Amino acid sequence: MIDEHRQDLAAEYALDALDPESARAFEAMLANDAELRALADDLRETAATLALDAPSHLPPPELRERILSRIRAEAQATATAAATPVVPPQASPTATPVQSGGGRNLLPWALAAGFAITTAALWMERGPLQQDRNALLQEARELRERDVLAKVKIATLSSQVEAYSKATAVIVWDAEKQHGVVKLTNVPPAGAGKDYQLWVIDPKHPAPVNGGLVPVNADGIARVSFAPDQPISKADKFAISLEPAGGVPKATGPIVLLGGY
Amino acid sequence: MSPAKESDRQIDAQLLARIATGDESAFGALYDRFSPGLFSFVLKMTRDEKEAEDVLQEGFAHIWRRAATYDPARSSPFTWAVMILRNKAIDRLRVRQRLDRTIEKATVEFSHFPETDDASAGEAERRDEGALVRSALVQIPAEQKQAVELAFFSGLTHEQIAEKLGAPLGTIKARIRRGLLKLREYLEGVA
Repeated sequence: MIDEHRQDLAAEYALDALDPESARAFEAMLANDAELRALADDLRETAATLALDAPSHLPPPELRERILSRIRAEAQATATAAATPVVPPQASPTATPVQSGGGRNLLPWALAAGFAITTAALWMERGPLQQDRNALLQEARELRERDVLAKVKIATLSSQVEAYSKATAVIVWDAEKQHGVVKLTNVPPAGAGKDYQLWVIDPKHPAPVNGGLVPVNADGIARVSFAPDQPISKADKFAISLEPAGGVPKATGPIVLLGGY
Repeated sequence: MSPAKESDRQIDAQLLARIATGDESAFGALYDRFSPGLFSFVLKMTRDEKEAEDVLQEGFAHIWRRAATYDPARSSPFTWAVMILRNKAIDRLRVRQRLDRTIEKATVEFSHFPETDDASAGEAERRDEGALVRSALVQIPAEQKQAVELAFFSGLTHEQIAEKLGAPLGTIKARIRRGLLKLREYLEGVA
């Protein structure tokens, strides 16, 4: 017989409502209690059936290909990384753009650019941002009120790696003035010898265009005005990567946030 | 468990095993089987089609990367996938809450999107299952149903639910526990 306290814990565990420490403690209990484990698993199965209590909606057909493209890109990047020995980055970036002859480091960017090109139309067709994105729109309103920007587009970036799943990134871009503002929240520290760097993905440029460094404070927040170092004809996507401290003229590091309008 | 459900579970588990080896066609097949139900679910949670699409994308990317960690002894593949997407959606809901402090809006109003009629044939079966769940929820006392739904869909912690409903935390935990147990009892009874 399982007492009510342990039933409560099982219900919370089934709903992922226990804090990490309590969840670990409960899992230790489960390891020695088959009955409790069966209850916890049953309750999780039961809770998951609630997902079926949602009005039926089909995802847009193009989403399937977008997801398949993403996992293909991940698989290729993983295979490439596994097949290539790690080479230390350049000791320090130079002010002059460095020509990159090797395709290895550019592969994730090539994939990102390809992704951007193939999906740009879909992103652009989405129309105005929806009401629930109040926070993002508020950002734009705030900027407009301060006359910082007049005609702007708002891009939202999403995480490309697990550690950034809670990060939010908003970019307000004024194509006419060729400058923008990037705001990040909940971003992990870049780490010793590293900086976050912004890139603009424009189909007219073979490689991402440098948007400059994005210093993140101790609270994981950044708010930076930027102007890309080359003219942008069409900012299809924006990306944030982790680069050697001080930044690099050509992207080399992992993309941690990527997105568009 | 009915033979049809058991067969579905085996098919899904086999697909996950293939995905764990990098089989893209298995991933596509699993997407076709799960995406209608999962998309409907995350849309109900996020109430935002764009956000639901992003959650679906993140969730399936996670499934692709972590298929090898699926344990058939612990849950069905669909439950495993539901919980992955639910956590992704909750992460976004909490970020949203932090950003614009719309916690009230995000939890009080559950969505009432008009239902579509163009669901795939496979969706008909899922609709039947959905009807079963809805009929089960009717059997549960209203306050337990409310607590269970808030706990499952809203991303609120149990403490936040207690605060929101103006009830002691212990009472909320008991409502959720009793609600889930009754739901399980009913669903097992009709399976």
